[in-house]
Amino acid sequence: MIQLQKISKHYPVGFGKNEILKDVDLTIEEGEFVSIMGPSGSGKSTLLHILGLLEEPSAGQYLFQGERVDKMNEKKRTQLHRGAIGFVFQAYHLIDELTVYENIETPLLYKSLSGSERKSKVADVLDRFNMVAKKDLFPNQLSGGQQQLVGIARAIVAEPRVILADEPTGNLHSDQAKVIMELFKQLNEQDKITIIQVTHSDLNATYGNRIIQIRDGHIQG
Amino acid sequence: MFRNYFLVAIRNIWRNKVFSLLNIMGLVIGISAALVVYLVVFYESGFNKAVPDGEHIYRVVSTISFSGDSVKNSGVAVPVIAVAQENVPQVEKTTRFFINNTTSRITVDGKDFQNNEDVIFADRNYMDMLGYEWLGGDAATALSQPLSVVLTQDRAHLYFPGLSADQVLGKQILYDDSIRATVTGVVRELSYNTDFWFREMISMPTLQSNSYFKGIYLDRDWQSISSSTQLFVKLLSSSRPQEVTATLMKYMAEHNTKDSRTALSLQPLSDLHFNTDFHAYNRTADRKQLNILSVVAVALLVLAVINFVNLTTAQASRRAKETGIRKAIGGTTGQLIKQFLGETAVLTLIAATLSLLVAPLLIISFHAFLPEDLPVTQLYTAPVLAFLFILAVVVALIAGVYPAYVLARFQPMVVLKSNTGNRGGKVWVRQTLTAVQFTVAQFFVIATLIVSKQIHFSLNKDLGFRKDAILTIGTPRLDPDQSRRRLLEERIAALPEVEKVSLSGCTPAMNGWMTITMKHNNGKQEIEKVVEVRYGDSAYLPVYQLHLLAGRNIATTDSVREWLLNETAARAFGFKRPQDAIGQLVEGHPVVGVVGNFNVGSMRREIPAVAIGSDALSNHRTLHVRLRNAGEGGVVWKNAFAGMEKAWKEIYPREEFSYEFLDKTVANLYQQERQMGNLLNWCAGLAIFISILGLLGLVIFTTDQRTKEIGIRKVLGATVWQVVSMLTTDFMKPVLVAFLLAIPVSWWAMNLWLQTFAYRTGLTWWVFAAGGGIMAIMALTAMSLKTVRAALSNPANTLKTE
Repeated sequence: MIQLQKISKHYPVGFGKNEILKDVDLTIEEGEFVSIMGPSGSGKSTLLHILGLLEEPSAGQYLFQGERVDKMNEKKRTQLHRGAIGFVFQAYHLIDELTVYENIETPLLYKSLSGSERKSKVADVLDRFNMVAKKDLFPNQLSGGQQQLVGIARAIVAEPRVILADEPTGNLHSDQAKVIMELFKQLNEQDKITIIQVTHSDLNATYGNRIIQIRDGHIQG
Repeated sequence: MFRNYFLVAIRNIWRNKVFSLLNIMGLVIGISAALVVYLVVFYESGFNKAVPDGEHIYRVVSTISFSGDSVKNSGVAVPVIAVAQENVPQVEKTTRFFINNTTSRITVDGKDFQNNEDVIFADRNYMDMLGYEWLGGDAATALSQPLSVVLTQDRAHLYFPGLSADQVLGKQILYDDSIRATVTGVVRELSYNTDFWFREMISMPTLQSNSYFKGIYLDRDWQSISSSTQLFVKLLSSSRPQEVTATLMKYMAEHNTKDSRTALSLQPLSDLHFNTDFHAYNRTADRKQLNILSVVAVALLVLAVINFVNLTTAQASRRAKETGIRKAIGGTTGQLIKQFLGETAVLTLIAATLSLLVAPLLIISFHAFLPEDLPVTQLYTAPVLAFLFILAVVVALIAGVYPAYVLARFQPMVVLKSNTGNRGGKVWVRQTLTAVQFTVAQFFVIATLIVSKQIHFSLNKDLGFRKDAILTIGTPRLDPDQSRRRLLEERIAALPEVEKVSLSGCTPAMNGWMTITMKHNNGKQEIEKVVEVRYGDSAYLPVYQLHLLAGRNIATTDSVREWLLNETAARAFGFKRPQDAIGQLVEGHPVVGVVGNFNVGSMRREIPAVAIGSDALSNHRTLHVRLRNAGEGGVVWKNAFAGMEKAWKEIYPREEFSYEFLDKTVANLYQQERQMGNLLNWCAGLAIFISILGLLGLVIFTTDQRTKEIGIRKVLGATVWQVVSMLTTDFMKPVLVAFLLAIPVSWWAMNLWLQTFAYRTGLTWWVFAAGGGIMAIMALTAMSLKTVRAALSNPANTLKTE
């Protein structure tokens, strides 16, 4: 499903450059649950952003479902964001001005779904996550764990093929983290959604079926 | 999708109350100003549009040229009417009427009314041309008999309160105690905006039946042109106005002389309301004034738009996160631009709605510069509301495009990774825009100062005659042998509070011109000059304390027998020294004295050549009274007014007593300038207000962003003053730049304006300095509202939250 070939990423710094990723080769099959691990600054977040088409690699090829996406224009990239890729962020990144319901509904609006379709899909997700009672609250009225649940609900409502999660439990305490990780596992096993997460926690990594260690821009082993 | 955008918009506006308020206040002022100006333009351009077949109707007007000068007159010589009726094949119909400017008193059932010159002599053609609706009387015959009069409904209500149109028919109206006319018709007021504001139409045959009127209005002389003779022609739709003018000119040319030539031309009905050469009847609109107003409105609108752009882009980093999220979950840049534009539109529409409430306040404030008959209620009619809507959309687009672009352009990764940094577009863009704003405001401030300086100069310059403690009293026109006026003069002169009285013509300085052409033969050649003339008796000179340079004062005579010249006139006729003029013949009469120059009008006019003569029988109708010292608490003057009124009532029991002080007459010469000063004052105020709002917004924003920095600096030992000046310095830069830009611009513009004055005040450096000072103080005061508080804040609190 995902194939990276000799992907590199560097930023200009002064007269030189700061290499983040060096010749990364990586293949991820449909249905996998992958955890990317590594120390701070090792390039794991950058790798995730490149996988999520939020950043362009400086060199190398990226094939998503067999299609080259590393030099894709913004329009096509947006299509993938709408349909195939869902994001979960460490800082949740909900829209503060929208209610829980409206936050979850937003991706569907961008997919131009009809009002009744949106209603039923959002209702399904709310139901599944036991959040019906909270649907009219604003993000700042929720706990961190609840906010992250909304973040995940928003990521899956458009039924993506893959979810990219950047330290999804980084801001949560362990009880909340467990709930979130169980949820990912369930999504992976029942809904067959490919999940790629960046994490610091060995415990969280065990939820997945594959661990990729990254150090100084290189994939280890 | 739309609902989602709308919700975010409303919630954002609510969440950032301060910024939204600053934005909306600025926009409300800008939009209200534009709305008021549109209302005026819409109102003025609607005049006479609804006259039936108006596009084929023209007014015949005259331009009279003599000795290198020319005068425009909205009337024609009476014989031209017959030519238009009989000899011009392209004319389908002619309508003529005469404005009654001779009647001074109208009496109905023993009650006196004044003639406001809305009384005309007319016939059926006039009524048909304007399409009156008859409420009583017969359209065909109402104006066919002498001594009949048709009233509009309003006038009928004024004269005969409580009576219906039918009951008014047959009632009598008495003009100047001599002409008794019968009401033969009542018509409804014209429903459309029009310059034809006449309310009382006396039948045309009345003129024929009265020798006094006949002499005045039906003069058969081709040279005698009066603006009371109004001629309209309706052309066949196939004909061109030039052909008609040519035919009319053929007849007119036969009667033109060497000294005076009259040219006739056709003025389209659509031009009537706007042509200040040939005035309309009640009020002529001034296109120049409309242009000035439009510029002002656009300027205020631009300032408000700049505020919007500045405040929105400054806040951009707050919204950056939202942009990032929306892009990550599938929003395109285009969709985001639409969303942010939508937010602007919501804000603008709120402002537009509020403008409907604020605009009437602006109309009150600007009333001196707007048509006095402007109907405020027209604000709430369809065309004006449609304009408001379109304006709001256009403003939203202009104000929203750049901020929307800045906001929608954020790359998701950059903003989602970290939440720091100042990414609200380019800072220099904001600073430039702020500088532009303050340049406009600064210009208005300096212009206001210069206009009031010139007015102050004009009112305090030595005019060459005395103007304090002098008042004038106009007397009724009809007094053929002067007996009643002379009696009043005697009575007033006898009052102990009165120092001196003169029965004369106009005041030395007045609003308007009164010129005659004078000839002087010096033995070698004949010198012809256009000379400003004043008529006065022997007391005119002492009352006004004009300086006699040579010769003696004139004696009071019934018609002109001798002249006083001013220095300029004496020199114009070739006399090197004042005394050389004494005894010389000018226009058939000897010069007996020469007086020093004095101003005859406003400071716009160079002092012209002036001649003073005594022409008691036809021109001495005004009493010029010089009072003694006002006394303690003005008691002397109070007694004087009471005494004068008592004398007046004995001699003119039916007329109202009124007087005007000369310094008021002189001040009235600068009404236009004062209006301009007033308008500029308002503009300066509003421009400063909007600009300061914007500046305050930027200061609030940056200060909030730098809370932590301020805390750290204070912990490290910075004083309050150091923090305030650190926060202030950056924002004073655009204000300073604006000041430097405004100096040449306002110098140029105001110099141009001052050139229209013959006697003018200087553009001294301190005016500019004062303007800059005012602006700086305003800006600093506004900023201190925020900066001082920020500097005083306890670092323990501000640093804890991080």
